[in-house]
Amino acid sequence: MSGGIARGRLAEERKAWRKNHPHGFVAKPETLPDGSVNLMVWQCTIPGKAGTDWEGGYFPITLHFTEDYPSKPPKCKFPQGFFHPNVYPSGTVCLSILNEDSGWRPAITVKQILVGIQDLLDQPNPADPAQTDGYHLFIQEPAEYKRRVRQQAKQYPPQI
Amino acid sequence: MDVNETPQGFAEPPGENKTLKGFDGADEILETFRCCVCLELLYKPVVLVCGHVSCFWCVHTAMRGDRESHCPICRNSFIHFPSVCELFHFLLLKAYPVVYKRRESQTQEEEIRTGVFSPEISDCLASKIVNNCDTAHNDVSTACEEHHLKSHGDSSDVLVVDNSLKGNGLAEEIGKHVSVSDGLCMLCKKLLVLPVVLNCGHVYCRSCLAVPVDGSLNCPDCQTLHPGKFPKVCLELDHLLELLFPKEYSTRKEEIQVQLDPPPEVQSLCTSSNGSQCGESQPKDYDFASLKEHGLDVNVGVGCDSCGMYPIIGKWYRCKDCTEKIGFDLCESCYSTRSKLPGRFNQQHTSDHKLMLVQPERLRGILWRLEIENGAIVPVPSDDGHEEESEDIDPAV
Repeated sequence: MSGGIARGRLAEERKAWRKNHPHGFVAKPETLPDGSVNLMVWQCTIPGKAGTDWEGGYFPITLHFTEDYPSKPPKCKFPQGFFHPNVYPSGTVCLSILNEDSGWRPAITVKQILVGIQDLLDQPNPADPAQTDGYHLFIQEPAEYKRRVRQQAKQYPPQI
Repeated sequence: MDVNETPQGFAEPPGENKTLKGFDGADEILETFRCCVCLELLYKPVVLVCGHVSCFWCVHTAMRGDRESHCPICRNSFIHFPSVCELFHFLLLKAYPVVYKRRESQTQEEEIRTGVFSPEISDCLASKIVNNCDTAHNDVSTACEEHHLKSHGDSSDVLVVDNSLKGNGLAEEIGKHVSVSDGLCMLCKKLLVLPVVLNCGHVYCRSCLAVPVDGSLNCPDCQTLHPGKFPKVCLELDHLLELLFPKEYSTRKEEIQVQLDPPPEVQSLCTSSNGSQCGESQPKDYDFASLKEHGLDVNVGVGCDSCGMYPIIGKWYRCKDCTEKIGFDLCESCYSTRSKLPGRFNQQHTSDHKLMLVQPERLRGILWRLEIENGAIVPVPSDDGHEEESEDIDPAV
């Protein structure tokens, strides 16, 4: 039965998102060169939270779903080299709710994933580092860490 | 860091979204009655011991088959695949006949494609009412309804839909079809309030079901053992009862409040993921990590058609006469009690059929243990011809 469920669920997610989604966020399935829509890959934007060093940045993130979704979580990737203690050099986000064996539940929606990652931006988890650069600065040089975060936010201005 | 605290997308405050559209075929479904896995209207609802509900196939697909599974909503672990809650099924069918019918044909198509079927739920009211919803009442549906009411022994309590609900879009039509007798607790014979659903799919008021002293809870109706913890209240079913029978529901709720003295932790009985467990003294779930120490076999990908244990731990019996692709299997305790339940996947198993003990596949056990030790658990594909059921975990791939 699982064969049909991923696409059906993603179509429902899309409907729900169009009806209502958090301000500043973007989430849409990618459009292929031939004009058709690929529900299995979503191009999203997460705004940095107001009042944090991430404010002003609109960070692009791609969600890759498999046919096992929602039994298995999507893989969530920022651009390669994204600066954050819990983002792998490849850009993949390391977060408990995105891990099938710890926090993932099929009831988690795209909206919850994106809001969860937005929270993670300003509240990194030092217990679970995924890159040396971001982790070391976060632990050892808070001022430099702050500067890098602000600089990165400027790199991702709002898309018009 | 963790969105566990954020409210579920579908658990919006009930007041904001009170469109319960029935016969008009509108797609507006109260968010509460969407399955959290497929995000569509719940179809053949299965209620887990934590009180959370999903569709039959959504729960089955989300189960592991090689060790304990987790609730799709709260990650509470369980190994028994509960039976469909028929009472909930019929109430949904009556509240959303058009959408429910669509879900039915959609699911049937998929079942024909995969060759594995969900349990057939027979009730003369069930199919007729939906088929006839456009043409309203013809003789068949009326006769059917009469029969249905007779079977409940009382036709006087046919529900007259409360006026307050009309404003919410609940078609008056529904009132002619749904009656309080469709939502009764089999113990107090009154409208269910704060319902709990047992592994067998039967429903009782939380307050009617006594917490067993010896830890073994049997269904008062079918007598089957409810494995595991005492179930939590199914809030979705509770909400549907309240919507369909507002007057009776509030009366019952008041009764319950009076009964419970001191006015206690009714609220804490609710289904939540925050860990307050009802019946902590109940038998714990299997500790898979320690099974090997006890020398128990785990029959990966094989589920018991009687109690729903999946995977079957210990001895595994298979029917030699069932011809369905999925086969018919029992665990040791269901084999020795000769359970009378039909197969989980609509197998036409009868008591004349012969069962055989399947010899444990040592290699399979060893493989499974290695995976447990490595922390990498993946279902073991079968090639011994015994494990057809494992195909059904993912037959479409």
